[in-house]
Amino acid sequence: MKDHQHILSELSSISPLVADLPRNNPFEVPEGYFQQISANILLQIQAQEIEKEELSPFLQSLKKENPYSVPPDYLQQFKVETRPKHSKVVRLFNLKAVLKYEAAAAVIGIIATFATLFFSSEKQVTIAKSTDEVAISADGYALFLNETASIEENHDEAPMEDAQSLLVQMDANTVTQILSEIPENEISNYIDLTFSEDLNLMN
Amino acid sequence: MLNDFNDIELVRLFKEDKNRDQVFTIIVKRYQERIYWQIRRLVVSHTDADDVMQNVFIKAWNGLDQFREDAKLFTWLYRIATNESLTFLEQSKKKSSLSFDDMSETLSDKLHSETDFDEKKAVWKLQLAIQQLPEKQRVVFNLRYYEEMPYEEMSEILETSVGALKASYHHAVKKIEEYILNH
Repeated sequence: MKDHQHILSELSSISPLVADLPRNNPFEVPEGYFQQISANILLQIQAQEIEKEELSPFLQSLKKENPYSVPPDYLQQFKVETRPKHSKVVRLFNLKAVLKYEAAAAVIGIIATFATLFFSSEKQVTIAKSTDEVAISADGYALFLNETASIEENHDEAPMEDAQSLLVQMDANTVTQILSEIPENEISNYIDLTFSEDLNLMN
Repeated sequence: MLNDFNDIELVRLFKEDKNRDQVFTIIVKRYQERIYWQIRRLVVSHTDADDVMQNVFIKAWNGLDQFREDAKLFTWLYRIATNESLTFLEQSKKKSSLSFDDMSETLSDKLHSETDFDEKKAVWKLQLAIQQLPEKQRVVFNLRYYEEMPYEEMSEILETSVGALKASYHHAVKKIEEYILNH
């Protein structure tokens, strides 16, 4: 009764229209059907049993018992393992992997160094070449050659001229005067020293 | 005397192979009407309901040896009846689509062939509205509306959560209301 009231109020809250509909059963059943049905079902079951017996009397004579056994309280204590018993251990530090990466880094470093050196020298040459080609014209180049040639000539002649001029300017009196001003012992020391050096050179 | 035995005692006697026929006849008589109406409301015609009914109790006979006593016998029989009815409807649907007969034997058509059928009467209008529902909602509505079954028991029969059953019932009632308002 309590359930009936609860179900009715639930239905009224969802749809008062459906709750007010008549609940009588409109379907009809043949007369005496429910008196007959159990007997009819039993007849069908007996026919099925006879069929089974004819098919295999041996199987039919066996009792439908379960021949398998389970350990005591197995089903009561059965639990589904959600995690594997032995989980895989993952090392945080792997020496082999580190060595592998170190070797790779070393090879890359060597290649990078050589490549940097190679390409930087190439670059300098190309820059120099390009600077020559762009900045110096043909006239400028000719002028540059003339100037350098005259400098080289001057450079070769100059020391000789200087030495000759010095020799011209210093006469015999001056040399004697200079030598007189030097103490004798220093001159003898100088002769000894240069003599010993000459000997060494000869040997 | 056997009529006074409860379900557990009857099942035990059946398993012990004592007066099997008699014991089983008592079980059938005890639940035949409730099982029949559950089947009839799903398959509509009496002939189909009778076929399904016979299959249900033959299956019960074959499976009663393995029946676990911690479950209710009535719940177990209801589950067999629901599954057999839905299987029957599924097979009928397949047959009609294979024979290209344009689904003339639909459930609504079967209702129209009932002897007292009158489309204007509210009670038949309700039956037509129920036949428009999807199968699962139809089962839930019939069990709740006609059998006044608690959701917990329904949950055991249909192996569905109580929440899902409440939602199904709610949708079913709303669809029936809509059908009645539009027809």
